[in-house]
Amino acid sequence: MRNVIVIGPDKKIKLIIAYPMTTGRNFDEVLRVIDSLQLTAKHRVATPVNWKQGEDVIIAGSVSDEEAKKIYPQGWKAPRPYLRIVPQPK
Amino acid sequence: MTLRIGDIAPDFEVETTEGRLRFHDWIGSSWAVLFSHPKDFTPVCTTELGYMAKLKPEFERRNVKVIGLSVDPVDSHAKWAADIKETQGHAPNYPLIGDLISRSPSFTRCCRRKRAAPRRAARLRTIRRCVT
Repeated sequence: MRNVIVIGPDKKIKLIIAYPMTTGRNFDEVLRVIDSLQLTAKHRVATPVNWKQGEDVIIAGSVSDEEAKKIYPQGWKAPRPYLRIVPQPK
Repeated sequence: MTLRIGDIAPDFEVETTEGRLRFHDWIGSSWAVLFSHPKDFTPVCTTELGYMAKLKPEFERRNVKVIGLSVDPVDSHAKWAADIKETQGHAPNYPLIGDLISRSPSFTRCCRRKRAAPRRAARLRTIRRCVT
């Protein structure tokens, strides 16, 4: 089978993608996922659909609004209370 | 055993095109991408391995090591590399694991061809009996 597995420095599996024999992989997508994995390992954020390095991110659900106010004193965009958008942390 | 996100990756000692290595030691403090292919000298994989070689600096920039894997032996990988360079413009510049079957049954179950040839399947069974 044609699989891609990404493993972190903690030796834990971070990503598994399986492809059929007749479909070649997209390694640019693997790089994009690694950017998200490394960012979200460092900061309590998640990345939205089709996110690329440098684009806005979502504050993780595990961060309360009170905590978020300390981390992002400039605030965030919230089209819904559960969708809190901030610039990508440096 | 099925591999899942969050599991510790299997560790194993294997021959590769860049020498013998122990997988977890080789990863060290980096990230790693392991990508499997069903068999050497197959067309889709030839394009993939060439493209991965071209993209390797982008993985390095992110502190990610790249390693390939198939059930074929290391000397077969080395012969195939010449074809990849000629047709894709880039030869693999990362290690390719040879014949992992005997070292990590769980990775092999995850990555091997869906329908192994009967002879290979029999060999797999024999090796598994020895390993597990």
